[in-house]
Amino acid sequence: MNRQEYTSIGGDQRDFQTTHWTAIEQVRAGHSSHARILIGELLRAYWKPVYCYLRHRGFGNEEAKDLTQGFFQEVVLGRELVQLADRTKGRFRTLLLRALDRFLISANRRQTARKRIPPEKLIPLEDERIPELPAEIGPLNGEDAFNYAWISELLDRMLVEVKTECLRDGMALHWDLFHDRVLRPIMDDRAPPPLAQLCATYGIEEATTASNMIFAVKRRFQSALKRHLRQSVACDADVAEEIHELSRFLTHRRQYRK
Amino acid sequence: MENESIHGLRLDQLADVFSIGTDDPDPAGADGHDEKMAGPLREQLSCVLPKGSLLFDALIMMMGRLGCDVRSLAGRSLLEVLLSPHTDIGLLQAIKDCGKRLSAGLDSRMEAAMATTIYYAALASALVHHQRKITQYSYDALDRSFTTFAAKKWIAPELATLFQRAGGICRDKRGTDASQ
Repeated sequence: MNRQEYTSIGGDQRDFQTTHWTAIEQVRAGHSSHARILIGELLRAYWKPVYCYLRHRGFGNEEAKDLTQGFFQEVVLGRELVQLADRTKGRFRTLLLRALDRFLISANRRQTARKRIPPEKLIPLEDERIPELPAEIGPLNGEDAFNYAWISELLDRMLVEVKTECLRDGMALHWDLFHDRVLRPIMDDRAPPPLAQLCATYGIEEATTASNMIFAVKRRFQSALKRHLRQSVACDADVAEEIHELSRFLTHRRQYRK
Repeated sequence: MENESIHGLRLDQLADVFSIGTDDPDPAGADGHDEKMAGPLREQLSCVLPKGSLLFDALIMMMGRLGCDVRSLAGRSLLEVLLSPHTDIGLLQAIKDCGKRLSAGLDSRMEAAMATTIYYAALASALVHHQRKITQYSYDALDRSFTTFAAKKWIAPELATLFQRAGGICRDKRGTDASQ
């Protein structure tokens, strides 16, 4: 997927108040309404990582889409994942990846994935923009490719959420400053514009004021990150550790940069 | 976010976006400055406070917000403050917050790396001198960070000792985070 393109697969961007683990436990306890919410959330958060993992494993575009459909249909919707889930045994995405590996080694999956699924139940991936892995992550293993796509999707959703919150709360200028000074320079691979320039552009008198406005958006971004990560770990105490692990993953893989 | 997506960014770009969301500075942000860091870091740490630099101005502002007595910095260097067992825990909290904020906001990567170092030094000092963990990081994560800093070629020997002592405390307390 071109990084300039925006995807809205999986419905709206509203936050999910329950963690994946608690939702799984509710589903296991027989609460069907939780199953529907859980499936929607998992699909939103994980279909792109699953697809990227499959592409990295050598499957073509169509085959990877079929297998992604098959995995969510059979393993996630089929509740196999719910039965396997144990919050004491690690991160949710690790569980999902292991389940995907088991799915792939099942006999004749590649050939039969699509035709087993009733057409009316197919997940409409064709309607959405399919992500492409950047060439630089070729040297990474499949799990790293999955993590790359998962983090990308996480950040994508967070940025949309933070922007929406800023606009809702009368902080459009805060967002614009954050966007121009922090986000866009990273995405365009260029130096951030001087604060004085942004102040002139947006009619802000003091650079300190602009700096504080940018910091306010960063704080929202930080809160959003913790909130989102909390959904996939077992307890509050694991969030900081998860942040640290993801930072280490990204930092250690920087060697592959172009 | 119209017409923008994170998908397709390089890994280093992705790391930069992710780091916006981490309120604790990444110790790896202090990497890659071995030849350049020692002198400036020593200079910053040895300055008598307050000094009028961006770092010290921010520190004074942060202390004011937290209700700390600015006069406690008079005639003292940052290194002295960080190493002293008599430094108030509130002041260490202010230094930590200041380092956190500066590490994310400074234009110069080297200055940001120095701010990150100061941030972790404040965490280490609070652990060593007050037996207090003033961050949400787990003891395991802190131990890894302290060990990383203690091994830096450019780190001042006194700070390396502080990081080593703090790392030892973290190892002793490993697994007790849930009770903190």
